[in-house]
Amino acid sequence: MSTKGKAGKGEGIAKEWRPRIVGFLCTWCSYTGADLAGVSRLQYTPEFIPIRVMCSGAVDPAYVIKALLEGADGVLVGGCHPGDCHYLTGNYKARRRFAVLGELLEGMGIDPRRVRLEWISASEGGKFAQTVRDMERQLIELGPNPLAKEELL
Amino acid sequence: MPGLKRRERLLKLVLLPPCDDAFKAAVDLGELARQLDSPDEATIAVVDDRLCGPGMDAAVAEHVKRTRAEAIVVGGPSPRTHGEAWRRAASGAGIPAGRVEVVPLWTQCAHLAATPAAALRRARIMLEAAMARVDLGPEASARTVEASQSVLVIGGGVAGMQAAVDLGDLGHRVFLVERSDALGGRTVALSRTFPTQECKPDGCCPESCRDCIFTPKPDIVLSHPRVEVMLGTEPSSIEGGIGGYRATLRTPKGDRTIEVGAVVVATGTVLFDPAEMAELSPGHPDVVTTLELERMLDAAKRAGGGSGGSGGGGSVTATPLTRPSDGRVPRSVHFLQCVGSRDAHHGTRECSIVCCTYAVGQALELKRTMPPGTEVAIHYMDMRGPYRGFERLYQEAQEAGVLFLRGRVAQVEPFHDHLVIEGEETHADEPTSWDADLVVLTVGQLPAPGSVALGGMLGVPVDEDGHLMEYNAHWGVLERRGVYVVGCAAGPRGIRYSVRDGREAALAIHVALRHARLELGEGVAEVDEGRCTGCGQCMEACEYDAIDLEARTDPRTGRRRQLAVVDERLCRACGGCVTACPSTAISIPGFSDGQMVRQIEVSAGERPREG
Repeated sequence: MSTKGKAGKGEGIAKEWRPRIVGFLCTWCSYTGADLAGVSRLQYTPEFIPIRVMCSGAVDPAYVIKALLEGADGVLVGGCHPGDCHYLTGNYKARRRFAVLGELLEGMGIDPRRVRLEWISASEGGKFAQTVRDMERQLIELGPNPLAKEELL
Repeated sequence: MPGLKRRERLLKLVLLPPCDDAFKAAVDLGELARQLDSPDEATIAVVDDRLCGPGMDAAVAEHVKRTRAEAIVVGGPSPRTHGEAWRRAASGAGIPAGRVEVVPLWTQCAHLAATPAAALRRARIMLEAAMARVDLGPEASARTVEASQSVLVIGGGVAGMQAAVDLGDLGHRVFLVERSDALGGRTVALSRTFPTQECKPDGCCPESCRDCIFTPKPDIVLSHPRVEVMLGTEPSSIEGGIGGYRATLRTPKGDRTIEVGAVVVATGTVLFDPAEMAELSPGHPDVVTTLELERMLDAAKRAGGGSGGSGGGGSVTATPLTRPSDGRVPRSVHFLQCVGSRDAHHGTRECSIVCCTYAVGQALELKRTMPPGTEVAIHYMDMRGPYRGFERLYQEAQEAGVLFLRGRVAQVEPFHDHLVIEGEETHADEPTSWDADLVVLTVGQLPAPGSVALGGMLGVPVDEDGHLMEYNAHWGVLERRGVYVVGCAAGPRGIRYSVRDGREAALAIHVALRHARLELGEGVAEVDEGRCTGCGQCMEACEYDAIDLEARTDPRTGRRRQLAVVDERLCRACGGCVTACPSTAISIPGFSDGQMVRQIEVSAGERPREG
């Protein structure tokens, strides 16, 4: 019923290939912003799959890496704007972890541009859709994630 | 989901409510159900019109009963808006909240894909990811903790008294502490109050009075069997969380510690002290504040035979007040508005809300009781009457001959036997001066002393003036569960609004604490004691002081050692501790590593063919 129809290494990228993006969205801001984008009928790639989390500070860098290994071409982490965190400082925690994650990804041979941390509030449906569109454009430039499914960990 | 076949599965019911025509047009729900429905995969998918609207609970219960499902995945509205309703419906059908996943197909899938085939494909991935995670959803129903049903009310003004009486009537034991030596707050000092201009809460008002009905009286509070009043008492420390606060009270007889489930803060405001504004001659005997004028009006009223009103319905004989300096009846009285309000240099930048209303009321009262021809004027910046009925009062005052002078007063200087007011009036081209026998400073309101410290003690933030802000308007939640700020402690407001605040808090507390066990709305972090090393990283990461290290017995070795312990009354389930823990020993129910990993696997890797 389901197939891993992913373009593997060495194969030509199919014309209709669209990168898979996994989004870890904090329930209070970015997830609600994504709801607003949908209600506003804003268009972005159907290959973006949202995962609701309570707080961007609860996104373990291992989750981001796991998503990349499982086949995501890019990962978006969305949190509340600085100073607006529902849990006071969760987004700052996310920012600190993210700084380290970038270096880790480079060490693993993953282009850090595949992963983005963005502050998207509940009222920024437009920003949400634009962010996903920008990411898709970037990922099409980068091509499919070469590390997908390679057992690194 | 071939990868999941070997894992334990719950029988899942996928509910697809056809939210609206646009949704149905964007996603072929029938086809989606056909693709997902698979006895091998322990999945039953249903499209049912009744899942939208009032029949939802019954429809959910019916489908669960028919299919004997153990978990529910809903593909439709957002969990942010509809999650609570679905969890409630599921709970009614015997499915615990942790085994309900709400997938926002309506908001985050239907309208963004260019083609119906793409929408269908994406809906499938999102639903399958939810199905993968719900298998590991926590089975436990909502957690409860033992809760004290007693309540501490801090402050014995009208708001605090109302909360105390209502809570007492609702069956709660109430401790009402008041810093001063009497109940009633500022309201008892008022001779007449808006809108009837005829009431005060101690019940000695001789006129037939309607507003008293709505204002709690000190004797009712003092005689209430479930309300214990402690005068001259303040809290010195308050610790704990909803259902379990421990308050230490500094009473005249020494310290006393009480256990309460909730705290009502009704500490009110103090009036701005105009002493710092030397330019207004605040030390002059004939420059008085509005509250001093209240006492003068009250004294005049009593002197005028007010006691004759005990028969009910009688009216007070008009007796003019006299001015403090020489006991003469003033021929002109001028009010200066916004003294210590809406001022960048003195008091507060904010409007004190009630001053225009009471100044107009006082001016009208003077017009009624003073000899004809007495000049009564109000110097104002803007007339603000945020109460229904104010316009009528304002018009009445204008018709009675009160002068309304729009501008700003620069100074008040004594001159011979009277005072000279100098300032600007917007209708005049040049600075103007007025003679007055009595000047009334309409002083603004500032938070009661100690408000900032009290906020710190309670974990409730304060605004730039120091008023407590218990409600987070951005997030729509209480800053600290179980702490309610009522009346002027949250910012100046009229008596009826303070009374209503008290009533509202009492009801909210009753709803939260009416059972001996308190249901915790959000999940709380859980510690796997076998994995916890007692390093304290989670404690450092917690913004709510909800985690402590305590000596406990290690379940594996049987030895005593330091382990992380979560105070479930304080935990907000943000997950900050989860990412901080180096040994994956702490987790949030519903967001466990296992659930996250399963959802990530499907979200990142699942690639069904279109169509």
